Amino acid sequence: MMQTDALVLQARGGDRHAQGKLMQVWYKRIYNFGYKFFFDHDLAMEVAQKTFISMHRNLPHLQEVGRFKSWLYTIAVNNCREELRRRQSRRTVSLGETPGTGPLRIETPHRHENPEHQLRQTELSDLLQQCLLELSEEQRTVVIMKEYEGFKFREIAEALNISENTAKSRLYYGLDGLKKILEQKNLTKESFGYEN
Amino acid sequence: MKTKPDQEMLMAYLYDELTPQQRADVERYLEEHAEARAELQALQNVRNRLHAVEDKEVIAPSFIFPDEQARKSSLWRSDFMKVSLGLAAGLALFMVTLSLVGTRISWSEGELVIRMGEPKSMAQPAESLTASHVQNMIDQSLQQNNEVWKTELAANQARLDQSVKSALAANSSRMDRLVQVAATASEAQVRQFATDLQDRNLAAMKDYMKLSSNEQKVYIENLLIDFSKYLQEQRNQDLTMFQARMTDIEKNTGQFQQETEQILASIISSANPKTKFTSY
Repeated sequence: MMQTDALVLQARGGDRHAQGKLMQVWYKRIYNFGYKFFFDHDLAMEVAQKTFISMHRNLPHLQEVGRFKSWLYTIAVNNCREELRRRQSRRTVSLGETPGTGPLRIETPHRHENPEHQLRQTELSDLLQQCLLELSEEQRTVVIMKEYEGFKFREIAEALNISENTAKSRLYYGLDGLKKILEQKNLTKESFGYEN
Repeated sequence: MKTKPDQEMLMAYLYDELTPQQRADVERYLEEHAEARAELQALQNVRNRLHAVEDKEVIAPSFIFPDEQARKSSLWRSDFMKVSLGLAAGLALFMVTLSLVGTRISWSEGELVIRMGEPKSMAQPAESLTASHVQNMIDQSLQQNNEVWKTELAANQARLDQSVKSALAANSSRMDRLVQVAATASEAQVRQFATDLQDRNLAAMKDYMKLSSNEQKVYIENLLIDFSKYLQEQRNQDLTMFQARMTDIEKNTGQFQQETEQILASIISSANPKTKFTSY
């Protein structure tokens, strides 16, 4: 984080090398945020590209260096929402539609690092991504930021411009919704290969 | 904690974002309430399952962020400016070229005239030139052309005849020589060929007759040997058969004698009843 702060300071002063370095550090996170939000590579790339172009233009206006992460994700979330609105207005793709809505049974009782396991892991990952897509945009955003991006509730509230309790509430309903979706899709504990 | 923790409190507990006091309160409540514990465990299970989603590996593209100062002055580098400047330069070059070649452009009475250099005066036809003069000039020209053609034709005909005659003479003598050579050569070759052919035929006939007589001799010998073997074998078979027949006749004769003796004995015994015979 110290490295990020130093880079942000340099980049805010117009250092293009530092800006490039910042992008190298944060690109994968922003891309994966977009990918989990849309479950689509092209859209994730587009969101990441727009986010970093916006970062480059608006970085001089960033007041607090320590808020860079929240600030960057605010841009990313806004781009995601904009893209979502654009796609919904065009009605070319139904994001809520998930193929294979019947009961799914994936037998992975043990974890082994072999190609078969990796394939199942990928399939499982895709299935969970589809489950995430069934959440509302607000719940999905909070779940991704909390579970995968490691935000504190305070940071989520800051980035989304909501209260901490709202963030917690959205997360609660998001997890509860996912629980029901997983039960509906019959994704049991055995499907994930661990006991708890 | 006596009252059930709200959703916000549960989430903060689940993600370990409570103060130690709050955490202790929630844990005390969970110890006393199994249904709340089960609810929290279910949410924790969902969290665990979400960990199966893997991050995608991606390489950051090499963006080149534009310089702000350069962006502001980029109007001069925009495509529109480039195209406009290009067109202006092309037009200026065209104008200079036109002025160098002395182009004159004029517009009069609805007619656009573009001239390269000074205008030239057109030659006016002679007024005394009439249709009969023109006809006479054409006739004279045709007559002259006809005479020239006739002269050239006669000369060409003469050259052609001369050429054909000389070519025929040369070819005739060449053909005679060739025929002579061919006739001489063919007579000698025919004789030689006939002689060779006779010799080869004679040799071939001798070889054939020789081979043929030898093969016939061997064949007849083999045939005679085979025939003698056959006769010998036939004789042996006849002798064997004759012996067998003789043996049969002897047997029959012996049997006939015995039967005759028996008949005579029975006749004798029947004639002398006092004498008893036992048969067999």
